[in-house]
Amino acid sequence: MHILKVNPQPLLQARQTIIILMLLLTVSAVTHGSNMFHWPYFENDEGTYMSQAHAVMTTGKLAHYTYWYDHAPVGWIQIGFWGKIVEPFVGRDAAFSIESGRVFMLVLHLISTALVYAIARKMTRSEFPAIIAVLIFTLSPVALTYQRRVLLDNMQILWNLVALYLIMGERRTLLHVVGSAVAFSMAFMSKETGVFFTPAMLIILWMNTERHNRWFALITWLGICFLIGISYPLYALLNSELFPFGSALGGSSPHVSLLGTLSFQLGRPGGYFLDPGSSFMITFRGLTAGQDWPADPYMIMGGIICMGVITLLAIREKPLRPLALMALAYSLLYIRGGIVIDFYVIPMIPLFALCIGFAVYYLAKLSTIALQVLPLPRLRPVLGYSLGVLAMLPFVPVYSSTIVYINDQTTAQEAAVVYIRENLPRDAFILIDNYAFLDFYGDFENAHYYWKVDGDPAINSIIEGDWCNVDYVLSTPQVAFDAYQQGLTIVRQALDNSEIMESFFGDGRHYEVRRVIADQAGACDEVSEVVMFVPSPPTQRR
Amino acid sequence: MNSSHYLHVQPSDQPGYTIPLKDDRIVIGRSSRYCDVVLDDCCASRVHLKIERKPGVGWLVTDLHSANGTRVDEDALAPVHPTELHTGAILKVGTTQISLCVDDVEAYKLVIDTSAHRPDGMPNSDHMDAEPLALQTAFTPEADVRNDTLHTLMRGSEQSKSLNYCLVVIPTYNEAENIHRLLEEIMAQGRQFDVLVVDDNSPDGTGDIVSARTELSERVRVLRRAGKHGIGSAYVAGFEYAIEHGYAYVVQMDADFSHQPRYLPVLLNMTENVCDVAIGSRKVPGGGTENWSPVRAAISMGGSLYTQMILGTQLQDVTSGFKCFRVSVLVSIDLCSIQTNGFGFQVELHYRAYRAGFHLCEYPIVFPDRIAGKSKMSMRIFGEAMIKVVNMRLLALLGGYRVFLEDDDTAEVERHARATHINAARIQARSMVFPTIDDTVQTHSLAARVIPWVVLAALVLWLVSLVVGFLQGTMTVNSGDILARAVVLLSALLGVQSLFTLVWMLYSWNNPREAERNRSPRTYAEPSFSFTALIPARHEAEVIRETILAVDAIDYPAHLKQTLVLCRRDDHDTIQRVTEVLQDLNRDNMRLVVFGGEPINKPAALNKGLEFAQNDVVCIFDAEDEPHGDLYQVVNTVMLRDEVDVVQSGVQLINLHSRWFSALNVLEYFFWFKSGLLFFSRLWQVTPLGGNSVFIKRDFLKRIGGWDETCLTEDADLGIRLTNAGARLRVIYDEEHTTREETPDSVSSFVKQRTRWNQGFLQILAKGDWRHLPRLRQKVLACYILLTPIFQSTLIVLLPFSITVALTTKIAVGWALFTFIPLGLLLMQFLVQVIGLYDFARAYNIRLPFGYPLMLAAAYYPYQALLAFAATRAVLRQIFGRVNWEKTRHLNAHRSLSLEDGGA
Repeated sequence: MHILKVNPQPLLQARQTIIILMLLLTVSAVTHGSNMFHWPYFENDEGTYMSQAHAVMTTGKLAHYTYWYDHAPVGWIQIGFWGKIVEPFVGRDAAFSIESGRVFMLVLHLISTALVYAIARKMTRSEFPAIIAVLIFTLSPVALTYQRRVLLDNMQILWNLVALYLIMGERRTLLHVVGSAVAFSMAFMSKETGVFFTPAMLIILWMNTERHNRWFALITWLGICFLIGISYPLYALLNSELFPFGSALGGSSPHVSLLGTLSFQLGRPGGYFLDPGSSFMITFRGLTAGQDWPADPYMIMGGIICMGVITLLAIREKPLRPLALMALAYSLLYIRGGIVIDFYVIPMIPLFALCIGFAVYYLAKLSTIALQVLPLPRLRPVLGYSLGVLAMLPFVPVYSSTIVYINDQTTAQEAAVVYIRENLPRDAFILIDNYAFLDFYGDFENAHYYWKVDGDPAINSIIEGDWCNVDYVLSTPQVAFDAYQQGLTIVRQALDNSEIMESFFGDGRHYEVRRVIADQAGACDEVSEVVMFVPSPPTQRR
Repeated sequence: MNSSHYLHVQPSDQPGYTIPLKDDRIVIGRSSRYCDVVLDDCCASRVHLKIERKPGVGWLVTDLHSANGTRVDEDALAPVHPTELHTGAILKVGTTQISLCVDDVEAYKLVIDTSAHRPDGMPNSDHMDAEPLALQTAFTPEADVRNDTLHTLMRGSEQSKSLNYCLVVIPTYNEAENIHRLLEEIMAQGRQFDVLVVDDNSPDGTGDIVSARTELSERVRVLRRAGKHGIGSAYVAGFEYAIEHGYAYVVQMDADFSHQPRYLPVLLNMTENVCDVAIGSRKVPGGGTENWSPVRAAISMGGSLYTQMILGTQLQDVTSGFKCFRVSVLVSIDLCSIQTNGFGFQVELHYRAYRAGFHLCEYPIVFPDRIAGKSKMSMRIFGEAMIKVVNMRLLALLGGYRVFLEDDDTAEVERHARATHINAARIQARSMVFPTIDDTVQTHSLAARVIPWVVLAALVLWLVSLVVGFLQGTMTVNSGDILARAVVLLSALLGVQSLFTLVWMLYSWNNPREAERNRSPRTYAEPSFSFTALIPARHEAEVIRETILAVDAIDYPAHLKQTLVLCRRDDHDTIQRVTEVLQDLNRDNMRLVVFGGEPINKPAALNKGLEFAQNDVVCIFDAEDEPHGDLYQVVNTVMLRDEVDVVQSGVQLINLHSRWFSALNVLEYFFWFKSGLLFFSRLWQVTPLGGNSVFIKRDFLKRIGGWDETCLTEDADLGIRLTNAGARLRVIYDEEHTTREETPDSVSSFVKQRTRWNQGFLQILAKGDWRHLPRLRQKVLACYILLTPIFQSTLIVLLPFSITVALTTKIAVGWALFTFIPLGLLLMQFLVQVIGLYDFARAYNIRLPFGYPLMLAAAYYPYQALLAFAATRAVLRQIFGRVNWEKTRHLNAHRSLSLEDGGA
């Protein structure tokens, strides 16, 4: 029996739908907006993307440092446009601050919320699962933490949802397909992990078109994605930066290259995903039970279980297939064996939310049918749906945690910036966590992202590869972690030979301004030179 | 067949009535357009439920996804699930109760009442003598009964007596200067018009003037309201008055003479015969404004553009307040929920009618400025309208104003509703028999609304990037580097061109439902038009026999068809061959026309043929054509159904494998006839006709003086001149009924053919008939189509050059990337062609060898080069004034092929 088709509830009127959606969006805006500048802490990557957006809009280059093809630039170009839009109202500095970026993320989140609602409604033709999905999507601490951050994945979510929405429903026209392809291209050009959705999208497209235009739709979709996608390697090729130097086509003079970076990224091991030490398991444990991490065991575990349920149900229930396909396709990213970083979870959040919403809806429907034995026909759906809502109860304690609404992690970070501004000389060579990059840009000419002294020959040459020429370090837990765990020699030596000038504490995180003392024990002989670009890839948060 | 079942309908606030269940299906709801039983009940949906008889089961009731649901004896019905309906069961639909009864003796008497509840029916209001007449109108299926009724009524009544037929609603506020004269002029327009003045307690005593006037004639009424409630609510009050008093038509107009009463009869006439809402439009050709200040004109134009863009309607004059409605429109658009006033009100009214699926049409009016009195335009009203427009669009996007839900059953409901609509229309003696698919007035489909804007947006985007390119070019490109800039410009042009080509190539596959409309009708109407086939033949002795046989075999009554084979007297072989065939066949209606004179070309031959043509419709077949046996039936049906004057049926080259360029040539035809023609005719209202399988009403041909004998592409020229003459054109392409042709047999004849086309296009361009096309977009598109072959091939030939420049010279990376865009789009075009190839092969039952697309790819660029060569040749020939007709030879390749494949 196709449970979803039994006794469907009539869809609400447009006006009622608008009211519900407005309420949900208000909840979304309030939860994501309140305390958004203070929790979570400003992260390295947020600073990177904001500074690169700044670079695009002010210098016309893709980054202030040498662009090394870490990600396709479309993500921060979008941030750049946002900055340009708000610049007339708040001024350039504020427009490209991380706070501004976070406001942009809030806007993206609101649109995504509406899309999650619309997709759920379109798939099941019912409001109930849509409401549940939206609530999980917006209230989960994981969602609250990651979606506030200025991350490319948040843009990917939005575009993916748009792409999915456009090809949902029967008898899609080519216009829908074109829109979907453009949106999908925007998604994977914002963050390349989006390509994992490709097979799912193609199958959904296949299902939702008719014989009449199916092949035209597929070719149009693939063609547009290909043409937009190919522009990235073509850009590298035109810059003579497609092939790594030393290879047959790459020439011999050192330069960054798309393929070099790609092979580096693909080569980062994560371990077999079920191995307890694999990066997948570390991330998984962190997100379900971590102490320092925003943990949401119910969404993650529940999401995985419901995903399984939905996948099984989808064998019979046609409306569920798109969701099952999307979730399965993206799961490949986690189990492929490569490195899994915590914010790889972001694109999965809406899918998990939808899976849970649908599973609960299905439960409610099943129980309504099972309750046929009861005498009162009107009571049956009421009881059934109540049961569904009851199943959501375990979420309540986790979701009512106030950490994200009250704790303050960023004031200390800003204080550290202010301290440096007021106390350090302008020409000092300072290694900084990248969150502060734009705060110092222009004023402190030698304030540099700490990865770059070990990774970028141009910056390395300023201090002649010698840590002794580093004057100060703005140290954060991330800096310390990378210095010792990722083999950043110069940063490590600078940290080892430094003393704390001032320390700032914010909600469990220490930020230190350290002075490097160069004359200890004549250690200044070592010189570590950079010939190869060592990129600064995202790592596990600490 | 009479059933003994009846439905008893009991509204909560009105007397009940009974309806005999004559059909096996009956749809109930608020929409008079789609429902057999129309409920006047705010809580019912437009299409609420259907009741049908299943043999062996009995009556079934199905809720059609109504908003508020249906209850049977207090049990809610599941949507779209048929449930058994027992006699005596009570259905609750909104506040109305409907019950199924058997053998109710009283029922028939009550049937009379139903016409009062059909908002479209003739009124039978409170006039005692109207009742039997109403009965007659409602049940006599003759087309002009209403008019007879009207005449009877007119003869029988006094001058001042009201007919309750068409009500002119005029809201007034301080219009004392105008009102008297206005009333007189309206009354003078005809007996069918009554006037209702809705006065908002004007201080200048407008109300009193009208009240005094009502004493003199029953045809003038006044509704005096206590305060100034705004024009919107005044109209709503007037409309409700009209509905309550059983008017069939309602006109709304302003009191200030900007809406001239002389247009009333024509608006009413249009609503009676053509569409559901007739709008007096200032913006269609023939209409206009007088004495407007530039500022006001600009505001009006801006407002219209804005509204069109946001709402996506194709109405030219969205704010027009001068229109005539069928009452059914007003009944089904839920007047009480309209909240806007001022201009916004007009827009909302239009939009709701449009969303509800009604047919809107525009009639040109001239709009003089106010003769007396003061305009009430204010900033507030303007602002309100701006916001309201966006609001409406949002509501519509979220599913508001919609008549049907997206569901599997929708299509069925729609079909059924259409059918019942037709019945209803017939019963009510409308002159319109078929719902018209109308290409020239309005097309109400999503694709039709969206695509022009997408195309336009793309073009604008490209143009902007072009300009930006030039501005920045001075900075990023070396300022002296002309080459680099030329490359960027070239890429931009080719990009726009390729994108546009891609759009029209894919148009036909955009929406499966839309595409269905382009196919041949599935059932044919009775033969009504007579046809004369013209077959010009010159040096066609090899193929002419089969062609004549094929035309003779067309399945149509012999007395309605005539065939004329046209041969020049110096062409002895063909003449002899034709004579033989005609003797063999020995038909009265087939003739050979032999003629002499200059020039020696196809249009000259056709003109000779036209002199001998006797039938209603003239059609052209080339000497190698193989028309389908049902073609006349198809065209006859389309001409009747869509009320068009010209039909272009699909022409398809079929011999895929003959030469290396054949496949690409075949695909070109396939995309052009299946998609391109449809795109241009439907969205841009330009139809470049093909050279054969074109059907033209003879009157029109005579009127425009036949073919232009000096033109090398007489077909394209004819299309433009026919459009200018006001002919309505329609394109159909159905694989089953296309006329099959063959590709040129050699490269040289291919080049000659293309040269002739391109040169012909240049001639047409020079002739300048296209400048007289009524709309700007028609002019632009005609110009575009004429120039495209030359334009495109030039660009494609230059493409490798631009890529080389981009790769080898120091051009900014961004611009270098830019030069690759056209290449990408051409790649897309090629991929689409490959898909089209398989689509084509499937439709025509042709087997493709494995790896065929590779061959296509190999031939692609040489083919383009060939086109470019032909284009250059055409330009040169035109420059040097060589305009003779280079003929293409035919070998019957398409016939042998179709025989091999067993298809015909």
